[in-house]
Amino acid sequence: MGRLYFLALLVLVIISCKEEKKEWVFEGKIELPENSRPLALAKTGDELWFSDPENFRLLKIDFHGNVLDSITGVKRPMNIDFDKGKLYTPEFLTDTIWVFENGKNIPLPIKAQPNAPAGISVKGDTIAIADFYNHRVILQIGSKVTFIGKVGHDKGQLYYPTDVKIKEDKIYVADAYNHRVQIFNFSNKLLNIIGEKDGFNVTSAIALNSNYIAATDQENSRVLIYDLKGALLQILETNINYPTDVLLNQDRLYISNFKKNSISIYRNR
Amino acid sequence: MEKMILMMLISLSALAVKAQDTENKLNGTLKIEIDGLSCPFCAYGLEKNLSKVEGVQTIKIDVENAFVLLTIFEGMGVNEATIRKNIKDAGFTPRSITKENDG
Repeated sequence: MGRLYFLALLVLVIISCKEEKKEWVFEGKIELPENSRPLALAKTGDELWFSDPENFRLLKIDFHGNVLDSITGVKRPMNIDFDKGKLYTPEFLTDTIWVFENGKNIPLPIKAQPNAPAGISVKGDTIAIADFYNHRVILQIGSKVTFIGKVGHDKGQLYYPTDVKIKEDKIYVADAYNHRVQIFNFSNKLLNIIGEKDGFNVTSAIALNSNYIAATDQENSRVLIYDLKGALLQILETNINYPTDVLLNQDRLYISNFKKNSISIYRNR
Repeated sequence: MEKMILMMLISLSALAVKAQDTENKLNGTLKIEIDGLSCPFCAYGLEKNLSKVEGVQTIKIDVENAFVLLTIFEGMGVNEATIRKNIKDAGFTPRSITKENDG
């Protein structure tokens, strides 16, 4: 009898686990200071940095939109990243990567010259840069440089990449004008392509965590959610206006509305 | 004598080419309408390319209304073909280039 109860309980647990299907639901918006144009996001503890290339600046805000800090005079700051207390900013017009730490902005030495760096991802001494006009990703590990992708529309080729993310031993590239996400290993071997048949019109940014990949569909004002194998799980459209970046943090997803002066927040529940 | 005539002809043709070149040069404030300028990456890329054109003083990109305003340094005309080439290099085709009233 005891065994029967145990088995029944086990079956109930399994069924309840199977039925639990989490979804991303719109939770609210952070209204930004007047005239802001948020292009990209980076989270630092309880605060957010966003790049505002239209106004040549970066602003640090709390979750009510109050400005806590700023960096000005940056000539079109694009897809930023935050790693180990440092904010990394690609400066599109000057081909410079700036590192902001303890109130100072200093240039990052790079071993290869980008032409219009559009995005950056940093994990310790591994740095990946979306090299917009060279249609490639610069991957710098310590002092060694390799290139991911080359110009074109075939598999493994890139066309105006705008964002890049490093996760473990993989490079995820927002292959913006091929309208897809491509995943490579550090040796430039293509591992997977995501979103090719999902109607993207400019895949401008990507975000990752241990369960999901989020990608912006900039011109269609959508964000698409995939599992790590690339299966489409959900399409988000509510309160999204010209999304240029996404940020995944625990159970929340932050979306920059470039043309609506706000950041939309979705929650996974 | 023949040499002198030849030299004069060469000088005259050089002057004619220079005059034609000056005629084709644009100056003042130019409004360039461009399709597909709404994407910020492309718009700022266009700005980057146009900033390389010699004689360009300021560049104002209007992402919302898809046009660029260029001002040219006084006395330094810019060739229309050069502007069109730099726009093409940035991945765009210019629709129209018109001179704005500077008054």
